[in-house]
Amino acid sequence: MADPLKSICEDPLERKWVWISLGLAVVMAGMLGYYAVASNIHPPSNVETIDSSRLHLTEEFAEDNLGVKSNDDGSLTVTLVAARYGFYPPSIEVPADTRVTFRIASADVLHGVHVPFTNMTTMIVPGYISEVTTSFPRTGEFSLLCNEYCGLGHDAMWSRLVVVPKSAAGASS
Amino acid sequence: MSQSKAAGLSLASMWVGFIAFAAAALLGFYQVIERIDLIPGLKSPALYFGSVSTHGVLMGFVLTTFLVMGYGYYTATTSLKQELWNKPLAWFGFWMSLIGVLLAAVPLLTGNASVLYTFYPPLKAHPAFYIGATLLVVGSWVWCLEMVMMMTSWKKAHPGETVPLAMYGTTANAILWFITSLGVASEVLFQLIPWSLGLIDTVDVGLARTLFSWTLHAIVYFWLFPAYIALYTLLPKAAGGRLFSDHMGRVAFIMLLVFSVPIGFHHLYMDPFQAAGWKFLHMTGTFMVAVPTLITGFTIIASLEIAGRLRGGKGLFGWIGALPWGNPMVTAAMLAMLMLTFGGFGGMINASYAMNTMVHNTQWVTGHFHLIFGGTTVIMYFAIAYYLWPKMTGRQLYSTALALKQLWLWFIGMLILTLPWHQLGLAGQPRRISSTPYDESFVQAWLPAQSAMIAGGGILFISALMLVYNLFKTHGNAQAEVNLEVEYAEPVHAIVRMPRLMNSFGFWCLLVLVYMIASYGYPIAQFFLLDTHGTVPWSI
Amino acid sequence: MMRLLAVLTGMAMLLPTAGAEPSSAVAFDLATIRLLRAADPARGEQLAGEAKCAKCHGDAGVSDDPEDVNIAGLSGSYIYKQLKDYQDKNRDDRDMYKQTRNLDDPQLADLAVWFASLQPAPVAADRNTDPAILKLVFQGDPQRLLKACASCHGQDGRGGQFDHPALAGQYPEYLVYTLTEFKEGDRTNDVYSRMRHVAEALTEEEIEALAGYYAAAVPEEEE
Repeated sequence: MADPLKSICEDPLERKWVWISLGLAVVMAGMLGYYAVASNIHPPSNVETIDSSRLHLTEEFAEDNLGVKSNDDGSLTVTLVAARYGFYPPSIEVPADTRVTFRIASADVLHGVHVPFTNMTTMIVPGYISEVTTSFPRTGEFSLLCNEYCGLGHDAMWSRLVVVPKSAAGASS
Repeated sequence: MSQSKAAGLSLASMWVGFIAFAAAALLGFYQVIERIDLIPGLKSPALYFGSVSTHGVLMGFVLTTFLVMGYGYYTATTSLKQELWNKPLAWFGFWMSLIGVLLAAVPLLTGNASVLYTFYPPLKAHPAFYIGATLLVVGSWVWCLEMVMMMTSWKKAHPGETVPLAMYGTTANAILWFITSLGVASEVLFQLIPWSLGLIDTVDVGLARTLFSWTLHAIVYFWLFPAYIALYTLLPKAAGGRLFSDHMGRVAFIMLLVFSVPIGFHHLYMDPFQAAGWKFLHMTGTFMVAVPTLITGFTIIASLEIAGRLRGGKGLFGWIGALPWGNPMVTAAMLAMLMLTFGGFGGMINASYAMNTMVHNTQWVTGHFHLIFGGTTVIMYFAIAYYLWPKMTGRQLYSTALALKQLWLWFIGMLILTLPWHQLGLAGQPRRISSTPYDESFVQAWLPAQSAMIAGGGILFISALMLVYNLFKTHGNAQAEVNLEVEYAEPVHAIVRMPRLMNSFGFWCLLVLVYMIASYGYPIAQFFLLDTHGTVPWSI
Repeated sequence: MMRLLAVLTGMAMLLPTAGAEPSSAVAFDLATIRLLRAADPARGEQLAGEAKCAKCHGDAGVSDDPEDVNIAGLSGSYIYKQLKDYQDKNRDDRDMYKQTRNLDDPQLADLAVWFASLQPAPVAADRNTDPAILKLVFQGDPQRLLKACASCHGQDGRGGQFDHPALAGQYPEYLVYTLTEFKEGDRTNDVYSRMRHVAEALTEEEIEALAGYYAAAVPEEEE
């Protein structure tokens, strides 16, 4: 079978390299595709709108609805608000090895949140609700850090996450 | 006297770029010291974020745009051996861009535009900032028009002939820049300017970020193109050899044109307002856009090997030592390729969902783009300057020895700055912070890397000064430059025939259009279909 | 009888699930922003005269009595929110409730922008500059999750957007009083408990010291 690249790529070694490069791109994209379809691994993307300027007056992000709540299937939902300059409630506790779904909204500007050494990370965009689901295999004290510039006090914006052993858990804020 | 009448315009343009660069380098040095709280008296978030915003605009908008334009004008006139298509218009575009920069500088330097290089709303800057940025971009569109018209008029005057590779690449870049800048232009014209002037009350931050992402990836290829053009068309002859393959150069340029714009969502992986399916589509294109860089790597290294072996290099790696390292173009290219390897590897990590999650918006990202842009791309800008200054001014380069030292210092400084920077990101440090008021365990863990980075920043600042000094002194150099011709590379295999698709852009533009509609059509339209809530302006 | 008991029990069980009221009814949405934009300081001055605000707050919003509150130069949005919270009884003060009870929203906005236009009191020359306190102000305390006060209240203490008030130039006694109110949960109109979390973590000594940092010059006692 003739190599379709022959007319534009004279050198056989270079032709091999081009096929390898194309193959590399296809393999990497393919791997991500495979896991996206088979294990439902996607970046956080739930396209849900909300009026950030009236956040505390909404039902989901009302002040008494924040924090850790248990769901019927044993998983947890953590409702957080990102507002200059902190995450509220400022200290949350979850058990290890439990599915946790974070629902986060901004009360003002663009924020980002990540918990170093875990895969809990997402942007928090005013007008939209961010949702990210993960579980924490290791116990300990972690920090939720704001990682998107949100104004002159951005450095100060962080809060605490405590992961306790699964048996010792109770949902608490 | 230069061979090209565009010399004045090219010099003016590139000087604006390098003056901006020197100022930004000073700001960068301040930033790397300040963040570690080394000098408590210097501590000020207002000063820091004003500096970061100015540094980003100067490096990412001013140095780049003016350098691309200057190099483009000189390449067009010398490779096509043709006058500028419309000289008064070209100068008009230059002035428009420069006035835009000066207009934006006022709020930037007075702390009224500390919205960073990415100016993400709803943080609001003074309207003069947005208007200045618009003028800069619109002025650059004049350059785009000039490049396209020059290639078109040359083809009319030389029917059936092959457009020189250097011009083909330059025009590809011009078309690329125009297409990609439409995203940020739309965001600024329809959202940010009216909003900052109080003509509209709210902006939809999701729409603004989506439009910005349209520009955000391909803009780095707008910056990278001159580096690649220099590698393909100036480096081989400077090294004493030939270009391994002219055809593959065109393939690389075409692939960059087609694949760089419709992949912006890898900058929005973590954003909630775009669905996973669209991010997946952009992800596939993101891996494809690595291919032209891989191709370029092969072609350029092969071209260098030819040169090395022609100079007597033997054995598997002996040709490397045989290369004329005393030529700044050769040294810069080798150092650029080394940094491209590190930076490109980092890029593949950023493109992959799960790994991106671990590094998103941490200092890894900042380290990555300083390495790949500040390293690979900018070192080639230096190389282009050292090559062209004598030909444009008619004076010999003030000091080749100084140029070589400057390049090596830039390389070493960049590695010392960026490698620990990547590690800081893996250790959890978030981006865009002016201090570290976090748990002691974090701060202690970050200290060694941050201290090392200061050394890197200092070296880079000195290197920046050396560049500007060398170029400045060249103007007054008593020694005249005898070889005024830009010596474009000749390919190993003479070009017998060039397929039409590799000598024109019509079809590829159509392909980009279709690809863009597929990648961005619904993702933008959704904001007009969903019930969205806009956001009012917020102060810095 | 059983049915009545069942109904009453059912109702009692429903009570905990009924959501608590938000801590403040004020949101800085487009309606509120437009209200403040349309407000007139001249009308506000007139209203302030009629309501005799000067009795406690001084002729120009700076009181001569250090036991009262300086309100000159606070942001219009912040003053509006406090007035509205007083009116809605989300902030508890009988005197301020009586003052605001019969005013409508545009009038509250007018008063707010009038006082916002006045010159704030300067900070005392002998303010507390103890390094430990400066650390709290500009760096916070990570162990207690305390952020730098300056991050929300500004490097110069002159406040931030909407409901981040200026602190500089306020009488120390009032600052102590307010932080104590937050600490003990007597003041609750800080949406999402932002100030309650801060005040709970501070010690009484720190509260006194911080008040001394932001303090306005206390006027001389009159004989």
